[in-house]
Amino acid sequence: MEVEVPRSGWMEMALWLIRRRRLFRVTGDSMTPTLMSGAVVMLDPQAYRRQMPQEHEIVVVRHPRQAELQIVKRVAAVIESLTESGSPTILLILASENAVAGSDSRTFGPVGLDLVLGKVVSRLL
Amino acid sequence: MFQEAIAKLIARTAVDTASAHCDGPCGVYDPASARIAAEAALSMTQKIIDLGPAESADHNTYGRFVTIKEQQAHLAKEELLILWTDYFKPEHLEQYPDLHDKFWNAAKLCSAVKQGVDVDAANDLMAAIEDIHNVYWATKGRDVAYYVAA
Repeated sequence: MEVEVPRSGWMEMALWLIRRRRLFRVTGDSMTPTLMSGAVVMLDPQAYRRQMPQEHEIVVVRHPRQAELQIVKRVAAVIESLTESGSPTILLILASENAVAGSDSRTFGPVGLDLVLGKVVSRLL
Repeated sequence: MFQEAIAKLIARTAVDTASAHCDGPCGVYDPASARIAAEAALSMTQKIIDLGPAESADHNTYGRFVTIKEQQAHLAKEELLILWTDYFKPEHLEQYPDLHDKFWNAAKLCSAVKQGVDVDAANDLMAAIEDIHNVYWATKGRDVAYYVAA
């Protein structure tokens, strides 16, 4: 299911001015047609302090195996799991918008909330 | 439109990037995954030979061994193809002009191991994967010792 990202209005720009939004430029084509390569999106870094991520939301996360790489993906599923010590934890399954079948069998597996930088709430360009 | 112009101005300040590349960009490759599958196929090849002629061996066991051998040989081929097409770049080919031959031969050996009960082919496949192991880690500038599980 594709969910469009709304264009940033005055309110979003005002929130960016008071540092409640972060800007990210999208590189690559895996999120087309929702986000084309070169799109600039606004991220709400505090979105998941009050509520859990929901399916179909678009998030920017730190790559689990490449700390310097930030990736933008859609949340395909939210899983409640247990850590090794038995405490509950939330894991996200992330998906590209148009994954090319067979291009690479590797995926990085579920992503913990600690790697989520925030929710994509609007797009400037 | 005024709002559009402001949006463009703000967008210019975007310095962080969020990658949306088609491949899962984990960048994690290791010929070890092909080696493990090839080694399993070699082991099953040997076990099939040790079982003796098909007509005297337990049919279920024989069938299982053949199935596992074929699955593992196929898996080894898949792992090699992923490494070949997704990791290796043109600059590696300049450095190792016989790179394509190495992978092509190794993939052919996977087919031979899958199709027959051929210990020589299975051993040749292991040798081919060791060769690819050495090339792969050399391109990463790392000295990683080759080993087998058995």
